[in-house]
Order: sequence, then C-alpha cells, then structure tokens
Amino acid sequence: MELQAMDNQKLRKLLISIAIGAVAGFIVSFALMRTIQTGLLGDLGASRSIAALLGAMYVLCGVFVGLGVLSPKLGARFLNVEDADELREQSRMLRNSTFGIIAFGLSMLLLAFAAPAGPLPPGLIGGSIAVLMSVATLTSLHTLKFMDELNASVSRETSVASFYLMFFVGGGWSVLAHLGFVPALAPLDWLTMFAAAMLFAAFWVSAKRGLLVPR
Amino acid sequence: MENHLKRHREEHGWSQGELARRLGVSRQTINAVETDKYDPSLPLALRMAKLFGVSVPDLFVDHWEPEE
Repeated sequence: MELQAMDNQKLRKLLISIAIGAVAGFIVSFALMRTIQTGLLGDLGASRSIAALLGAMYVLCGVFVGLGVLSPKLGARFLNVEDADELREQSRMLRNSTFGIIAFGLSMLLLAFAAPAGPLPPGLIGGSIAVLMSVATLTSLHTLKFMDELNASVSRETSVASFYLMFFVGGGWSVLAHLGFVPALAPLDWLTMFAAAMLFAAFWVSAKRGLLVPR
Repeated sequence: MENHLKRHREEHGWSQGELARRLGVSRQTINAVETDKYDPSLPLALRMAKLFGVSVPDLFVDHWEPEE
C-alpha cells in the first residue's frame, strides 16, 4: 500500500515535470520562432533559427536548474531529486552548472543574431562570447571540485559520446560534402551540431546511469 | 554487477542520503549503485565494505569464473 502510494507520487511528479518542461519549451520556442518570423531580427534563415532555438533550450535548462538552486523546495517539485535537501546538498555544483549552461546558451543565441543577417554587430558578439565562454570554462573547472565519482563519470562519458556523435554525424556529412553530394556545413552549423550532440549525449548518458528514473 | 548495498544499508536503518553523507558521495551515486546502473570505483567499494564491516565480495557479487 505504502509502495503503491510512493509510486503514484513519483508518477505524479514525473508527469508534472514533463508538463512543465513541455509547456515552457513550447512557449519559448513559439515566442522565439514568431519573433524571428516577424523579421525584427533580420532575415535569419534556417541555420541561424535552429542555432537560436538550441541556445534558448540551453538557457531554459539552465533557468530550471537555477530555480532549483535558488528555491530547493520549489525545485524538488519538478527536478529529478528525492527532496529539497538533495538540491541543497548539490547546490554548489548545480550553481556552477547553471552559469555554464546559461552562458553557452546565450552564446548560441548571440551567434544566431549576429550581423550581417542579424542585427548585432560582430565585434560586440565576439567580445560577449569571449566573456561568456570564459565564465562557462571557469565555472566548469570550478564544478570539478564538487563532483563525486558518478558525476565525474557521467561528465566523461558525455564528452566521449559527444565526440563520437560529432565524428560520425559531422564527419559523415563532411565526407558527403567533400564528394559533392550535399552542401558543406557553415561554421554556425558546426557549433549547433556540437551543442545538440552535447545535449543529446548528456540525456543519453544520464538515462544509462539511471539518473532520469523518477525519484 | 549484482550488489547487496541496499540490503546492508537497510539493515543499518540508513536512508540513501545518510549513507551518501557517510561516504562523502551524492545520493544519486548510492541510488545508481543500488539499481545496478553504476559500478563504484575500488576505493569507494572498499569504503562501503569498511562502513558495513563486511568484505567487498560480500557487497558486490561477480559471477565470473576463471576458465579451467
């Protein structure tokens, strides 16, 4: 009876998490695509739109984790943790991760909106990305201090999986482009592919290690 | 790898959080080990065994047998 109640509670939390993620993802994507379609940000095209969308997803993930750090009680309702205390225990690591994820997402957004197709001057974007990437790098290095061996293992496996995804997808595309079967990827497409590979690999490795099982 | 971590933890009346705190790891790590999603490092396996007062093979069972 108690187990059944616990399972129901986990299922309810899982459904709430999925619903919140889906609704927030839809709202952000819809708002971004509508803004791009108005032409206010210039004629961005598919490549830049996808980069912006992915950047927005990173920012959204970062915001969710950040909310959990700021308010563990609230975060425990939609993040996959046992209770608010678990978020408090991991707050130092999660705080750094939040900065890193948001900095990377913002970088993708800025790149998507850069001139000549976008409204933002390249010099400003270059400088901003240098700052954001420095923040992401420093916070990532600082995060290493607070990782335990499972976190470190997941991080390493994610890096390896990302590398092979890039190698096979990006490398395969490059082979086809070199042979003239498909158009070559633009520099921004490579960055988008890298961002997508990291996101996909992170979820895949987390699932493999049981970190996505409702708790 | 099969393990008896959960049984030993429950015999001691500890939650996953309590065991994690005693071992200096995250609750996720304890959960991943208990559900066979993650095999701990040798130092962590040794610490777990020491904490429960058992040997590592009492906690972690490997069914591998050497060939004749």
